[in-house]
Amino acid sequence: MSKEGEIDDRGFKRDLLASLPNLRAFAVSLTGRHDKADDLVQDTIMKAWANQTSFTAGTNMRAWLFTILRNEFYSQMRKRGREVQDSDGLFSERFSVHPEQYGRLDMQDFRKALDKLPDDQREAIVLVGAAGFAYEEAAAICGCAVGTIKSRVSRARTRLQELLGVSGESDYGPDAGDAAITARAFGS
Amino acid sequence: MQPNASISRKLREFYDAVQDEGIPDRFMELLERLDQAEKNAKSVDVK
Repeated sequence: MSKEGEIDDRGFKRDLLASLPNLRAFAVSLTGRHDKADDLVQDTIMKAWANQTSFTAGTNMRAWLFTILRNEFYSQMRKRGREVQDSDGLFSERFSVHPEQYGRLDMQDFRKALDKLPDDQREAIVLVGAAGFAYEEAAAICGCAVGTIKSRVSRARTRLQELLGVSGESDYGPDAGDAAITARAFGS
Repeated sequence: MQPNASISRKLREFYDAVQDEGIPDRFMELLERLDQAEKNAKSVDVK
């Protein structure tokens, strides 16, 4: 029994490590900041470690960890009270600390737009569009219906298009993005 | 179609950039400490 336990423990740690970069990227997406994200990941690791026995071996550890992290994120937000989000302020601080991590200007614009999404839309599009979860898995992680996730992803896409289409090209109206693409495609 | 594809690509680009940063030392150290604490507790049990 104890030998089996030890083998499981090692598997647990190995799987936990394998999931960490993805889990951390999810935390950065939720919090919008590396320092807060890493604190959140640390709390998640502690919680996961303490609750190893509640993890069913052979099931999806990544989904289990994402669920813990997400619950932790929202429960901490509730405890602290919703912090007033000043996206631009947060981002200027973030970029001054790690400008090299975000590269080009259009990626900074994207980060700002992503940060402006409502939490439920942001987590939905990140889980499905970047973290590699199926709609069903994302729904299980967020504790909602599959249809809800689908509509949140769709609304998130629309909102991002609005935010990015308008940003910097408001003079040209809503079709500026398409016009620019057409212009580039024809080499003008 | 085009704007959607561009948004999906940017989202993955951002996400992958964070993933590619790898695992910060603080987490490796934390797991090491957790592992060690568990081993110590077990060896006490055996004695």
